[in-house]
Amino acid sequence: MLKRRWNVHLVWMAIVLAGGMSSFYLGAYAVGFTLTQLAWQNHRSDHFGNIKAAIRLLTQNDLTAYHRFSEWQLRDGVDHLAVQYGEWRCSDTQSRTLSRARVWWKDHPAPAPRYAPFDRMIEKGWSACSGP
Amino acid sequence: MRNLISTLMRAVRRPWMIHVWWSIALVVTCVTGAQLGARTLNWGVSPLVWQGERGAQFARISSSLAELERNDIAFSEGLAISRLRTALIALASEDGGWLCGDYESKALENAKTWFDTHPDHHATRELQPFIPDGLRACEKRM
Repeated sequence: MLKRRWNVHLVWMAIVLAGGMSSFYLGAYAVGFTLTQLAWQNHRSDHFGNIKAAIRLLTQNDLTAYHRFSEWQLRDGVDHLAVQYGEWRCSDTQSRTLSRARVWWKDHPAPAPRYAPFDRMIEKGWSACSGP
Repeated sequence: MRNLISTLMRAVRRPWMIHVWWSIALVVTCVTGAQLGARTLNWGVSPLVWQGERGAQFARISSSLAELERNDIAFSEGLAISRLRTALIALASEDGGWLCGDYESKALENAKTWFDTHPDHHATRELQPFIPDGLRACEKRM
């Protein structure tokens, strides 16, 4: 009778262990699957955006249009750096790129005043490489 | 009160109660395991995603800056073709399980029209191997 009672505990312990391990795997799998889908979808949207922009630029074939697009890309890149989460180190090349971009940005002020929150965001982005 | 406690104690000590305790332990372990799994993966993968994203932003800043500094339409055109090539190859390499939105289908339709009407443009000639497969990405509609 006593042996039977211990067997019950052993069987339950095995079930709990198996359940815990399966849940760990399932939790990781669910997050991995969701993150992958989101990241893939973002990349996909980027590709469609790039196709649309490139076709439009090739059609216009105008240096001003190319520059406008590049300026927008530059600002978008710096904005993304401004909203990054956590402390990141920059490589030497990245620091150089950012300081060159900053110099270009200062040397080419916008003819009309820009929306102030965007400008503040850009200012924050310039300091992306000034961390430890 | 004493009666209530003794009734409860008798109920707790019944042989089948052991299964109730173990079932509760199973539920708690499963919930904790799922949480731990999700957090572990998130902790491991998030920095990698951020690092990739950060590298992509620096690359974008660098190429835009090069284009703005060069001030050369041939260079700008080359960069646009290069972006187009990257996007077409990426879309061509998809496994086909994705649905397209109206905006995405329209972008590809416009691209197809442009390639068809500019057969002699060097972008069309250069990207010819990737155009058919890349433009097939929206055969499934949302």
